Amino acid sequence: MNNDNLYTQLEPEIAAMLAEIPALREQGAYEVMTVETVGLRLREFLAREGLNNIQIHGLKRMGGGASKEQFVFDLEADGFALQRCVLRMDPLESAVHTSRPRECTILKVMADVLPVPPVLWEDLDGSRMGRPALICGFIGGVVKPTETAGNVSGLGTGLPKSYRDALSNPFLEHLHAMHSYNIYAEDLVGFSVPDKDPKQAALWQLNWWRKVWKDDRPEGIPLMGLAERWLLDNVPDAAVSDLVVVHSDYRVGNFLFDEREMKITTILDWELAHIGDFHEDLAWMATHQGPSEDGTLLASGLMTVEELCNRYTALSGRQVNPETFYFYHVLNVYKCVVICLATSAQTAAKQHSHQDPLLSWLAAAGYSFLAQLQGLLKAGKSL
Amino acid sequence: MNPSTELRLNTMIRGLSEMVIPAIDPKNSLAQEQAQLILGHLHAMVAQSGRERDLNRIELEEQKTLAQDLLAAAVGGPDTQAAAEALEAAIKTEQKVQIANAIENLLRSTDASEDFKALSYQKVMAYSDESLLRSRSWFATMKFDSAPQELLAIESLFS
Repeated sequence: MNNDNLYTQLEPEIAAMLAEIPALREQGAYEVMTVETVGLRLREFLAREGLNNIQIHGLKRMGGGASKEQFVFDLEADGFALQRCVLRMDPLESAVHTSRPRECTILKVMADVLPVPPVLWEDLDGSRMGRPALICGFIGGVVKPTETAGNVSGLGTGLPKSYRDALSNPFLEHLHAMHSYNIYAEDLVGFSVPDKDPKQAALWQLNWWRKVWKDDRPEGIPLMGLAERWLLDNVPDAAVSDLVVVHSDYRVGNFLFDEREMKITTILDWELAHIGDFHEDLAWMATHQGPSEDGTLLASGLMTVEELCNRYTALSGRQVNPETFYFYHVLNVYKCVVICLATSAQTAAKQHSHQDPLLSWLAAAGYSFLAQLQGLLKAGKSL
Repeated sequence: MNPSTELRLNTMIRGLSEMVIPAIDPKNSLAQEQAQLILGHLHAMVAQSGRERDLNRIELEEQKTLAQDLLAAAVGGPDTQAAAEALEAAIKTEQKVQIANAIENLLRSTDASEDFKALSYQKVMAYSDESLLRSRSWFATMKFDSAPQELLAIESLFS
């Protein structure tokens, strides 16, 4: 593999997904469907899926999140006992570009390993619902203690000590279970394994977000150029044994839990999942730090970064390499800047989402992530 | 100009807060969420008091200074040289977006000399100290910042 190729190549499925964006960008404003229209299409869709005597009750929009249109409803039909369901539909664009077929695949695969929303039906090309859509079973739970305030998308969500003590174990055990899945399993359709070169895992991710930044940025930022050069100069190697299913957004705010039983009921937001280096998920938690009651910064608001690494090693047997961890920490913060200041701003400007006010709000968070990026580059290490 | 932008924004905030938001179905969580976000945007616009053009002017001047500093020291392989030439051309346009893009493109070149990498690191960090504090302060009302005690009042950004 020559270097030119290595430094521009992407995972094939991601390259194909990104290649569809220019055509999307040519489209006008996203036309939001009324709840009534969604209900009619849903009924027709389910009938074509073979359901009879369909009864849909209480269909309504859900808030939260920064990407999909979400509706909740109760469904009953012949041979289908009453069940609460969630319909997730793509707007034209959102804070990130992701692949519905991959999200659907990973949800189905992980259903045997972890608590995830069960996929009931899918319309991956949107030919029947009007937009690509998944219908999943509804899982109860909260993303944060009922009596605390949070921020949009769960960013900055912190947990009191009693919650941290109860939830950090299952949080790590689920991460370990996900990271133990066989990356060569045949059911991981549409996922490629970056095992042709020791640097391929890191470069596939770096090249993805470099491309999105270049395509979506409203205007260049010197610090982003400096960070990109540092990342290109410091791409780490990964052994095949380091490669795992990476969730890519694994943090407090992206799982639901039962407040009475203090049990994680489901893990959400799998749309960025891929096969990559396990350090990436650990460093993502360090990217989203929150203070404890005494001001100590906690990875994902749960435990210190050192404790996270030590407990992960004890569970998995994998040793955390501080240089690799630092690379992914820088890359993850770079990615957050891309999502906020580039894609969110671009999508809002094009009026391509049902959540333009949220996306233009989220864009401003990019400066906080830029400050984090500068601090990281100055520090020269994470651990 | 009467009515001023500030007056109009403040009337929108009052109308939204006292009439529109209370009339939204509390069970319509997406509509509630968006109404609150629009309210937040309006408050941020009041705090920014129509100074966006002034802010862009300051940013352009600082970018031109950074661009000149980088150009004076840019040494490296073909990518660095091509990016330096593009930056030189961009400066002449006086266009903020073109200059900013050209600076970033020069900085991402990995074939730069080690001396230029070291110098550009220093220059960009010093530039970012100023520009990031300003940008974070500009959006302070959105409450994303993890160190709000460091942020400045909007008016002080222009003194």
